[in-house]
Amino acid sequence: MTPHHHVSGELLTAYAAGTAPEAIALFVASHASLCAACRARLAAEEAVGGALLGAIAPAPLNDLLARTLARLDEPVAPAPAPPPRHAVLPPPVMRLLGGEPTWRRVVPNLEIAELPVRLNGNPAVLTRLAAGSVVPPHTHAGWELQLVLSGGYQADDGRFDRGDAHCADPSVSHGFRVDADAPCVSLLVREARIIPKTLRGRVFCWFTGA
Amino acid sequence: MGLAAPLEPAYVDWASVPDGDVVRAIAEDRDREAFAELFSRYASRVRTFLVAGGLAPTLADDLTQEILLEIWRRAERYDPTRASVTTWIFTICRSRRIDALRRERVHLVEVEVDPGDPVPSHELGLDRERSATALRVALADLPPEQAAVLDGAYFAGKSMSQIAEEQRLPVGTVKSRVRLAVERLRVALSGGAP
Repeated sequence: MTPHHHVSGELLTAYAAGTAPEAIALFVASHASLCAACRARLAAEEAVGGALLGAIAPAPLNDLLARTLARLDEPVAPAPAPPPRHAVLPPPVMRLLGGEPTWRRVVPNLEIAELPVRLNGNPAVLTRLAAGSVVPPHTHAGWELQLVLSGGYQADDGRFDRGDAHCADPSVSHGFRVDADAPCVSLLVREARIIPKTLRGRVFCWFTGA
Repeated sequence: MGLAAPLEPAYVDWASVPDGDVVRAIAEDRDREAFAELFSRYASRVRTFLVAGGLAPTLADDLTQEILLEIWRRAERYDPTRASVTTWIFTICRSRRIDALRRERVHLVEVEVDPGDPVPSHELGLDRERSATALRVALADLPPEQAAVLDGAYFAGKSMSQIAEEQRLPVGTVKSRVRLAVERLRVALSGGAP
């Protein structure tokens, strides 16, 4: 299946240039692991880095070559094994977790598993919303990035299924309804707390610690 | 590739061998002369890249050595269908620089293709070295203000807002210059097709 909602060029450039914070890098890499189009975009961004590296004029380097040649036969640690395969979680998330996530139920229709990565102190999390759940309208004090990993939902700004990246900047107010036939698992990276727009939303945030 | 028949190592004029074949000789034959050639092409560029990113010169020397050793050890993992040699080396430098700076990051996150997701066929036929050459030409033609923001992002490892502050520009201007530059280069990379 081909995702319809992608990460922005700005996030791709930050990833390619190596300047993205770890949680953002996790988000971009996870989307790209599910999206061939964004892998191609990323390859182009990395080629820009390669061209810039190639454009540097070479200069002499004293004895560095001799010192490096002397180390060619040093024993090498084996390359790390690929992460275990998972039907829902993409390889970058599995690389971090190493196994099944530890789910914690925060409200009756929502379970959360924290990942060992933070952005401005907010942990990146996996969320599992029960089938038919409604997330009340809210805005954000910063960026919110949500990657759908299984199931799907209908939001004010479109339909989101596996592989789709839902990126909301502080100007966006949205809510969404999870499909009635399946729970929805997502990777969620937030820059700041969310701001509920309704009383129901405030209660939701109070319970979930969002 | 250029080397059709196996040659006696002593007769290879490595200076005239394309990057891809040099890496292949390292991967397949563990050829030290090939490695010395690749070193002479890239080590000082790698070092310049690291210093531009804010690493102290002695640390940059150590890391340059580590990066070149990684190229020697992992040469068989280079995939010419995915990236040019220069781009591959750039991605190794990027990872090692993140590792060395380790401000906010603890883990190195890399794209690994989900086993259920196939590679699109149009990507496989690309000649990465030829595209890289086209890209270098396009890069040299970039307007200086676009080249400056790319340098800041890729080399100095700065965020858009840091670049904006330094160049006394609105963040929006920096972002749009980066996008314009990347778009121009992307067109060059795909052989002129928009």
